[in-house]
Amino acid sequence: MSTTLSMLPTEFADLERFAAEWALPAERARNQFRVQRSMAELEDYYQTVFPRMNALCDYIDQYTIDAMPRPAARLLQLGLMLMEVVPAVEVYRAPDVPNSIDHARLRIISPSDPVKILDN
Amino acid sequence: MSANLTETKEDMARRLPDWAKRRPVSERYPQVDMGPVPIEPYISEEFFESERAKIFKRMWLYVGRAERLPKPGDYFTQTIEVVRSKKDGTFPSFIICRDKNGEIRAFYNTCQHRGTTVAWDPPETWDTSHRRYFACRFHGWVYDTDGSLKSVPDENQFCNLNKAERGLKPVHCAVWKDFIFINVDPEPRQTLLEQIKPHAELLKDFPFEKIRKRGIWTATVDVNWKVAMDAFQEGYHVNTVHASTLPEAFNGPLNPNCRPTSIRLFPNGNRSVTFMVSPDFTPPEVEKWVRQRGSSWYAAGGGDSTKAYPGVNPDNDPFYAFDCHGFFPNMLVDPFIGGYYGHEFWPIAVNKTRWIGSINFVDTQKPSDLIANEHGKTLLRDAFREDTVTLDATQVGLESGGITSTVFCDGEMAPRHLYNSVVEMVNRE
Repeated sequence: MSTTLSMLPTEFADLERFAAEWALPAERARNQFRVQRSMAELEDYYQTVFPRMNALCDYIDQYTIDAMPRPAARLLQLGLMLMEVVPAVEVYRAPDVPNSIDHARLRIISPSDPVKILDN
Repeated sequence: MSANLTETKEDMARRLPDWAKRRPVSERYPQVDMGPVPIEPYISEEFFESERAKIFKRMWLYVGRAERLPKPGDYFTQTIEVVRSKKDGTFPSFIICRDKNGEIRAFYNTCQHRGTTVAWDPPETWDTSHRRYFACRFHGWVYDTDGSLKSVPDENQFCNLNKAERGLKPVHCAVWKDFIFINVDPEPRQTLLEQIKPHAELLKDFPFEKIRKRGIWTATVDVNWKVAMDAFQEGYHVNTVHASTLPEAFNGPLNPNCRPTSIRLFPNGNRSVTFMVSPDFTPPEVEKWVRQRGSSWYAAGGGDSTKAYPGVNPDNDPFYAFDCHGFFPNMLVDPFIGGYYGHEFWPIAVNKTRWIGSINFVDTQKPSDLIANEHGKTLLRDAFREDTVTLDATQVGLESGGITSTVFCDGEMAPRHLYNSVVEMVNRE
């Protein structure tokens, strides 16, 4: 059971410190957030969230994407955010892509995450 | 280099000395002149005007996916700069919608009262808009989703207004495997299926209808549309443009310069190119994890060609990564194991192009699949940031007077084929 103050299922209390800021609902918001972080922040996120991914996936897969309770949806968003962070940490070792077209010129117009969130 | 799907790394290594010294694509197509070509088609305004008239205003052009129009009344608008009626004219807009009977239709987005744009572009997003009717913002004329004029405010003040003749002007529209195409030629010279025949035959069993768009990105680049398209249909650039990202995944000791494993040239300007992954690539930690969980672009099969969907990898190359299908004139569809990614290149001027890139995965109900998909999506999007960085600089060089012809290597047969096909079509009646 979650307390009224926690944003994530209680089993994921160790990720609670990321829930308010890092659980974002769309690719554009996640990418904008990533490129504004420092490498230390991105690496902290990567090191903390990645070891929890199997448990996170098992938890969210109790539901289907057209009916997710909000705490589970936040976990999914944290998992999606890890994938946004991966190129910065595993590939570029920089928050944004070096030697690339200006960040503002490539506009992200992706569809919203295909998830229906239940609030009750 | 036709081989077989299950060839081992060692088998392939034994073939390498022979492959390395040959030019397999030009051997396959000895009729293609492999010499330098003049650069005028990339920089000439007159040539660009001929492309508009002879290609873009005559051919079927991809405008969007039917998945974007799930319900009657769903629509999107699409501006297509290149089919404008005058050289320096404004850019026409089209409505693509699913009418009340479920049929997909396309119209000029033009009120038949005094010409105003009827449906205005929603905020920049791929999410669908929905209307029961289209109402013009100028004087409130209302059109049904089948284009017919439904109501005119203060109608009796018009003399002999025949509403049946004042519906939205239709545009030819055809759908292949949920890809919606339009053709502004009043009498198209070919059907859509005639135009895309080789792709339709190869990809007839590929499950496009089960695949959903997950990422879509756009940029306006100051470069000719063919130069932009060429940046995505050869692998020769991978070592340099993607120096920090992809060479280990694609090039590797078996294929150090990311040559395509095979290329097929088709009539009507169509072509397809197959690329391999490197079996020597050791993925980083999260990528390894993703390969176990589900689809992530090239990572999905880990180079196991036998896992690919039907219709891909027609030459049975080992270590299959993806095919790049060039749909003439301006679309690339790149099937991989678990989905496809794609590009559109919309000419605005001879040296200005609107590019759209996207990635699409098999539809899912399982939340963790979205996470696995997101891995490939962000890697690909960030790689596209690298692909697009050289474009403006290439056009500057082409227009500088510092170069008069360009040369293509064997693995750059797709750019050469696009060039040759465009020149041939511009010279036809």
